[in-house]
Order: sequence, then structure tokens, then C-alpha cells
Amino acid sequence: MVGKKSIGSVIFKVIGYALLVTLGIMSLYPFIVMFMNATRSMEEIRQSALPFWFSDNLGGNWAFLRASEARGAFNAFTGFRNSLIVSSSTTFFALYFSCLTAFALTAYEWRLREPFFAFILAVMMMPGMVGTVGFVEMVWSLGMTNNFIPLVLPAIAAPAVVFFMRQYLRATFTPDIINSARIDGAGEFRIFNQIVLPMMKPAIATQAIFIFVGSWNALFMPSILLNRAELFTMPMMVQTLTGNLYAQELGAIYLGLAMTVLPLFIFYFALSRYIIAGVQLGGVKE
Amino acid sequence: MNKKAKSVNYAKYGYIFSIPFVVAFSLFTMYPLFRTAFMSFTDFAGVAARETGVMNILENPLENYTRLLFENELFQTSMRNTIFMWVINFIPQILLALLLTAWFTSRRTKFKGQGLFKVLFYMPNIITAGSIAFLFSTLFAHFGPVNYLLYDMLGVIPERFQFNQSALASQLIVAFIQFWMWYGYTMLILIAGVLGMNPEIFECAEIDGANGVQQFFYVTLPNLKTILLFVVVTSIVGGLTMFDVPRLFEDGGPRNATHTLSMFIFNQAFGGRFFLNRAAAASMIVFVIVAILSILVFYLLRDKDAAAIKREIRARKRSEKQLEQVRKGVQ
Amino acid sequence: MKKWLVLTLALVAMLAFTACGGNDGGGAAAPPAGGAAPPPAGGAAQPPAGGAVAEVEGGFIVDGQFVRPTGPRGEGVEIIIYGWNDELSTAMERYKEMHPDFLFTFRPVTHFTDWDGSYEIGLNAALLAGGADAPHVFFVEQAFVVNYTQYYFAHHALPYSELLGGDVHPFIERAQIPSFIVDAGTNRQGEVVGLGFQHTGSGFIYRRDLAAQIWGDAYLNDTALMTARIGGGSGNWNAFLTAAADADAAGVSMLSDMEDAWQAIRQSPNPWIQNDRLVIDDQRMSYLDIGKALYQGGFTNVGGTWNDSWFADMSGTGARPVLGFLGPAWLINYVIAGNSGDTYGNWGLVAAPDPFAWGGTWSIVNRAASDEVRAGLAELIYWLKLDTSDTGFLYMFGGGTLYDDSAIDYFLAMDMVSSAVVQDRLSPYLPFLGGQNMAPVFLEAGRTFSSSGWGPFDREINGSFGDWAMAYFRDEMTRDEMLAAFRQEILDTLDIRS
Repeated sequence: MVGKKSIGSVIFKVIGYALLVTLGIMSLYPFIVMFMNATRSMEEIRQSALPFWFSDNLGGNWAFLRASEARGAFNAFTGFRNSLIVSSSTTFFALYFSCLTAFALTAYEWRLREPFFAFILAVMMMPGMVGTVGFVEMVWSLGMTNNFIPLVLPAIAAPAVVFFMRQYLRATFTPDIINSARIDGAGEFRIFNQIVLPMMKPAIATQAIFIFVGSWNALFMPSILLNRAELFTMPMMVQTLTGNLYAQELGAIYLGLAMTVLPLFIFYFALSRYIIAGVQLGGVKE
Repeated sequence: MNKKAKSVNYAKYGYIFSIPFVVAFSLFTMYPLFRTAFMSFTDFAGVAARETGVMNILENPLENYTRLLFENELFQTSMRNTIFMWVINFIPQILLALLLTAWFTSRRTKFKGQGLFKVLFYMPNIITAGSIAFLFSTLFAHFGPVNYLLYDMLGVIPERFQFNQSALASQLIVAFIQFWMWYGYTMLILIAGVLGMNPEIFECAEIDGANGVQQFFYVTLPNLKTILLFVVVTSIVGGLTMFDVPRLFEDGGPRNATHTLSMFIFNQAFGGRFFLNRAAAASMIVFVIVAILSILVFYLLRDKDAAAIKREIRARKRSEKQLEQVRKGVQ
Repeated sequence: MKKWLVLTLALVAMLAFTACGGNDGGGAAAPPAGGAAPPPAGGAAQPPAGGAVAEVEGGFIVDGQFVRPTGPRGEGVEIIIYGWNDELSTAMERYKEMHPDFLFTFRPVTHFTDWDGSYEIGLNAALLAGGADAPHVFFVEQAFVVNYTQYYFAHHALPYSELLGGDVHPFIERAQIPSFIVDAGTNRQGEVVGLGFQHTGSGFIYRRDLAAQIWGDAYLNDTALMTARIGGGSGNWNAFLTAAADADAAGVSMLSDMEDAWQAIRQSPNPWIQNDRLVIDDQRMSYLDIGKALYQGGFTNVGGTWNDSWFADMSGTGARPVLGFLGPAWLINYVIAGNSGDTYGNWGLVAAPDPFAWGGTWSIVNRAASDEVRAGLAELIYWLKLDTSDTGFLYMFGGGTLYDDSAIDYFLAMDMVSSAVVQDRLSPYLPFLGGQNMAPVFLEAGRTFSSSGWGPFDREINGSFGDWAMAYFRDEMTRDEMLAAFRQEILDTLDIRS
């Protein structure tokens, strides 16, 4: 890098860092608020909504949540377990089948290939809301309420993920990669699973975060399709806290919210090195 | 590009591996979509309809549509609100994301701690809409921190501002929440796109003497078109179906200021008198709008060079075929 | 290697959720087209695993008296309860403690929020879906009770008489439940399908110390003076507004928010919808004048309700001290008392300018409930609504003796109950009110109040009117514009013309 330290570039850097730090604080602060308020009591929060440091009422808030659990309303572990099941399954289905479809669109030459891709693009434009009414009707008439299947199986068809994977594959895939496996007599499906999928790890990791988060935070569909408390997902559990107007135990509510976010944080930070390293939609050629 | 070295045998795998997608899509998206579409032309409404499941096509099948578009002011308001809040959210979002992308992929200026920043900027996307709505409600409450800052500490306003009674303030807050939640995601996608570009083109530009700004505008951006397309389209779709945040923040705001299209559809279908047919018609209208906008975006961002090359290839193939036929005919 | 791990995990996850998400498989049975009352959609009837279901000839009512079964009953039978809070489901647990042979179990579904209509949406979805997960008993509040007793969902409600196997009207008369509660719970065939347990007659709950600050020390203990001062029971709000001006001059806000007044004024004897048209009667129209006077005079703190500003006003720590709130006993016990801070004990109660009733919880039994479930519900419903004995829910709830566990604090206060006979035996002298007995004021409010003005879309229409009215109060719209906008919104959302 040519080192020309002019005043202009220094000023630029200063402004740049100022902006970045501001954005960073802006992005981070609501989380800090949430975690700090989770340790404060209701009275403290009433007095000053913005915390500056942690307090000592974590135990009290936790006790309140346990009491709510005992009364059958809020149950953190059930919500967590259910969300984990639904989100993991959704992520798995979306990733696996999107990769498979992207593979079909890239590795093979078939007549309907381009029209099919155009179709997928078109589908990507379709807002989910459009089919919601019809989808809910269908689930009701099939009697599949209180069942995770209608929440998970639709993830098999995830047009946006297919698009992303296809872009990645187009840039990184050459037939040579699989030709030797074919000569050895490996079936196409095995080739996909053993050669192509590992190749797509960075793209998978990035999309995994997006899909998992999206599924974890979904509130509308589960609310309509699930009414047995033992099946509630985490966001639904949080609803039981924020929705009860009579007893706004603010500290406990924040603790519940923090508990919802915590698993996501862990998952996110586990995969975040891919974000830092930067997912390249195309490798460097030659 | 893919070499045409595969034999025809393998083509069938293209079809086979696409089957799961097609099946799932037909079942979970196409079928409900057709159901919704059909519903929009019927009288399917009310509790009685839901229980008997009977749908009768209306005498004037387009009645639901015409009444929505021309007579239903709440629908029109929702449309305006949704578009307004989306534009206010998206323009700053894409600009900021592009700026950050430029900074984080620049070859000339390196910012330290990029990794940390990237991680931080994406974090708002993790949180549930419900939690965010709750947090922001408390932030902008009558005795909340924002008022505390403006009124008690800085004294810049004469009295505590009622955020939830001001239409404009509510809309701006909702737009800001959306911006806050998504700018990191947009940035990451754009960075992924830039990293995928061939570094040679950047090197060429450097040799030609282009500085950072010029590089960004003349090299990076044009090559980013496909990814930009992806981002804009998914943002349009997401924006037009904004539901969780406006609903949980102020439930539509004062005088329906933050009432969005999705909320309108939701309330029509699941509240009040269960106008499922009208909700379906509104959904179809949203679909058409999104399709038109997407096609427009497609057209604007199309890769003109690639299209030209394709056309040339096709033209050449055609002339080759004609030559073949002539030769065959001669023989 | 790793891939197989991932696949195995996924497989395990799938198995796990298929095991968890028990699919009922039984969809809602389609009722005969055009039939008036659809047959009960067959819920999955579970035969009692052990213990006999007590058989009582002719139901639970014998010779006009309720006969409680004895012996172990209801083992293995689960009752699905829908509510927006766990108030009543907790009370039902108490019944189980009191009657150890009552072996039914409860599945409370209480996660839906009430203030944004989510509860109704969830309830409706569950009722319409039917099957084994449909609610067996559900609670509805005043804002939408008639939807489920008289209008769109009324055919899902099982008449109490059918549930108990005998006519319940004599019980209601003996208990002296006011007509506004019974009427709202009576369907169009004249059968009682729901009853409330709370008496929600309302008055003006005010701070005595502030009243004294404004009008003199005599107001510390004399409620008659206060009643005259605000025109309590007079039927018009002129005196109230004059008093508001006095308060304002002394630096006190009369009410916390305009919504407080709207909650009172909108309780008109005429429904919003008459002959399929939206009608704004004079009483509701008067809110525009009263509210405007309150707003422009600065007589309220204008912070909204059910939020931090409202709660802060209950302890006087809001923008300005607030003189009082308009509401019933539950507002005192469940809301104000807990938020009143240091002001606890300095409050008083007088009649509102226009006595009204606000709120209440009606219990409705789903027709689709199986016979086994009905057997359990019969006992519970009787205990909750019609039992006037000292061990009945009404007496214990009203007396604050249902629980003595301080974690369930809302059962510790004395409350107003529906049955006048029971209320007579209770003398709710509230420490919160400085020892004042709250019954006379509230009972008087409920005596002449008629719930005939409650209609199917009250929650939506009231909300809309209140919202648009604010635009008028803030001078963002003229009165005519505001009314036109309101009418247009009702037309847009509910397709009801004016």
C-alpha cells in the first residue's frame, strides 16, 4: 500500500473510525440495555430506563420467571427446546435442498435449466404474505395444527438461498472436480454429498446464520398453528411476558428477552469467523 | 463458465435433483397461492364460511379488487405508509451498506478491527421483532430515555414529546428500526459479492491510476449488479411485507400512521369479520406490485454486456445452422 | 465424517419433533350446510383411565339444588382452558386443593396478549380448528363477550343449563346477579351461556389528599362533598369539568388520560350497530366535547393508558399529580394499588358522573367438549359463578381468602363479586381507600346499568373512535373530518356503513 499520509487521509480515517464506532455502539446498545436491565428490579427500571451498569436483582427476576413457569405461562427451557428443534430442522432442510437444487442448476446441462432458474428468481419475488391465508387454511383443513411439520417442511423450497448457492457454485465449480469421482464409479448423489457439499462450506455457514435467525425469530406462523403450550417456540414464550399488562415485571421481562437472544448469540459467534473472513461468492481464479 | 464436456446421460440428474424443491414448492407455496388467488374472487368470508368451507365465485369476480383499490381508504393508506416507510428505510440503508462495503473491501484504506465491526453491525438482525418493539417502546415512552434526554437533560423541547401520537415520528421510528435491523445484513451480502470479484480488474484499475473512489464507482459497482439486484429485490419483498415491528411497536400507530399492507391483510383475514376473500385480493395485489417492481429492477440492473454477448452467440449459432442446412441442401 | 454427524443430528431432531408435536389428525367436522346449530365437532374423547365418573341422575341439579359428586372422578381427563391471564386457571387449582377427589387436570393456554386482539385471534383459530386441542372452556372479556354469546361464535357456547342438567335461572335469581352481567351472557335463544364473576360497576377513584389540597381539608374524609363536587351520579359532566378546572388551577390533573373518560362515556345503553348500520348516539358524541375540554384545558397528563405514564400517575410521580381514575374494583386491586406507591391508603371512592360498568370476565363452555370434560366443568362453573356458600369461589374471591400465598397477590385483596347475596356478607373495607367500604358505590353503579349497549365489534370501534377523537382534540382535524374519517375506517375494516 502506497503510504502517503496526507492531512486529508488522516481526517478521512478519523471521520471513518468515528462513524464506525458510532454505528457499533448503536448496534450494540439495545443489547446492552437488555442484558443490564435483566439484572435490575422493576422499580429501578421505572426510575431510569437506561441502565449504566449491572445491578443485583438477577436472582429476583429469575425467581419471578420460575414462578411464572409454575403457573404454566412462561417456560424458558421448553421454548428453547422447541425453537431449537424447529430452527435446526428448518436450517438443515433449507441448506441441504438449496445446495442440491443449486447443484442441479450448475453441474448439469438440461433443457429446462435456464427457465427453471428464471422461475426461481420469480418465486423469490413472491412475498410470503401472499400465500399465508391459503397456507393456514390448508393446514387447518389437514388437521395439522400443533405440529412442527408445517413450520419446517416448506423450508425445502427456499428460492433466495438457492440463488445465493448457485452464484457461489457457478464461480467455484468445474466439472473436473467431479469427473474423477465419476470415473471411479461414484453415483451422482454420493458425489454431491461427499465432494460438492464440503466445497460449499463458507456459503453454507453464512446462509446458516441467516436462516437460523429468521426461523428462530418467526412469530406469526407458529402463533397461528400452535396452541399447546408445550410446543411454543421461544418468541411465543416471550410474548407471554410482554403481553401481560397487569404485572409488568420489567426486570423479569428483560431477563426473558435476554434468554431468548442468548442462544442466538452463541450460535452466531460460533459461525461469525466466516463473516469476518468474508464469504467469497467466487474464488480467485488462477 | 461451465465447459460443455458432459454427456447427455447426466442431464437427467438436473431434473432429479430439482425434484425436492419443486415438490415442496408446489405443495407449500403454489397450492396455497392458487387457493389464495381463487379465494380473492369469491365471497369466502365470515365465521360461517370458515366452518363450511364453501366458496362461491362472486357475480362480479373482480369486486374485491375494485373495492379495495378504489373505495377502501385504509388499504390505500396502508399502501402509502408501507411504501413511505420502506423508502425511508431502504435508501439510507443501501447507501450506508455500500459505503461500509467500500471501506471494508478497499485496497487503499484499511480500517482496523474490521472483523469486530462486521460482527457488531450484523447483530441487530438477530433479535426478535417482539423484543425490539418492546425495547423501542420503552425508549420512546412518555417518561422514557429519549424524552429524558431531550427534555430533562438538554431542554431542547418545550414539553415531553408524545411519540406515539405523532404520525410522522411513529413512521420514522418504525423505518429506523427496520434500517437498524437490516443494514448489517445488507452490508455482509454486498461484501460477499465484492470479494467474489476477480482481483485482476482492480489491479488493472490501479495501474490505470484510479483512486479509491473511482475504483468503487467504475469497477466495483458495475460488477456488483447481480448482487445488488438480489439485495434490492429481497428488500422490496421484505419491506412490502413489514409486519412484526409495526404491529408490536404501536399496533399501527396513531390514526393508522404505521399501518402496513401486511397488517391490513392480517386484520382483514383474522380479525373483525374475517374477510378472507378481501385479504386474499389484497395479497394478490401486493404480489403484482412486487412482481412489477422486481421486473423493473431486473431491467435496470441487467448485465447489458452479458446480454449482448448472449445475443451474439445466438445469432452466430443461427447463421451456423443456416450454413449447415445450405450445405445439406447442396448435397 | 462430519456430514454424517450433521445428518444424524438432523434425523434425531426430526424424530424428536415428530414425537413432540402430537398430531391430532381429527379435523373440524363440517356441520350440515344451512343448519342452525352445528353438531358438536367430535373432540377426542378420552375414557377415564381409573376411577368412576360420578353418575348423577339428570345432571348435577336435583330438586333445584346443586349436588356435588363425591368419590374420585375425572382421572386422566384434561380440561383445556383458554384465557389471557392465569387468574381463573389458578383459581381452579384452588378448587382441586379443596376437593382432593376432583382429579381432572388442567391445560391452561394463556400466552396470547389481550391488548392487541391477539387473544381473540388465537381463540378463534382454536375454536374453528376444533379437534382435540380446541378449548373446552374459555374466558372472554367485556370488550368482545357478546361475539361469543350472541353473535358470530355463539353456536360454540354450551348453555349452562345443559351443562348442569337443570335450569340455572333459579340459581341466578337466588344469587341476585345483576342483569348487566346476565344479559351479556345470554344468547339469543334466551339461554345463559356465560356469566361473569366480578361485579364491575365503576366509580371515580380519587386521591383524598389532593382533593383536600384543592378544595379544603373537609374533603379528606367527606365523600358526600366530593360526590357533589364532581356531580357523581348526576348523568352529566359539567360539574366534573368545573372541578377539573379547579384542579388545574391548583396544579393537579383531573385524570391521567382522555382514555379514562372515554372508557366511562362509551358505556352507552345503545349499541354501536343498529340495523346493520353504524350509529353514533348522543352519549358517545358527547365524548368529543368532554374530551376536547379535558385535552385543551390541560386537565389530563395525556400519556396514554396501560403504559409507564399511566402507572406513574397512580403513584403521583407523573408529569403532574393526578386526582383520580374512573374504574371498577379490579382497577383498584389489580392496577392502581400495586402502582400507588406512597399514596396507598389516601384514596377514596365516589360515584362517577355517569355510573357505568367496565370489564369483567365471562366463562363460556365449548359445545365440543366431551361428556367427561363437561362433568368436570359443571362442577367448576357452578363453583365459580353460582355457588353462594362460604366455600364458593365468589365469597372467597370477594373476601380475599382464596389464597394466602403472597406470590399470588391479586387474590389477596377484597373484590366485588357478581352475586349481591354474597356481596352482602362481605364488607370490603379497603385499606387502599383508607378503610372505606367500596361496595355501596359500585353496587349502585351496577344496579341501573344496562349492557344492552354492548355489541359485536366494540373493541375495534371503540378503539377507532378514541384514536380519531385524539386528532380532533389536537386540532389536527375538524370535528366533521374526524367523524368522516372514523366512519370511513369502520367501513374499510368492518364493512359497516353509517
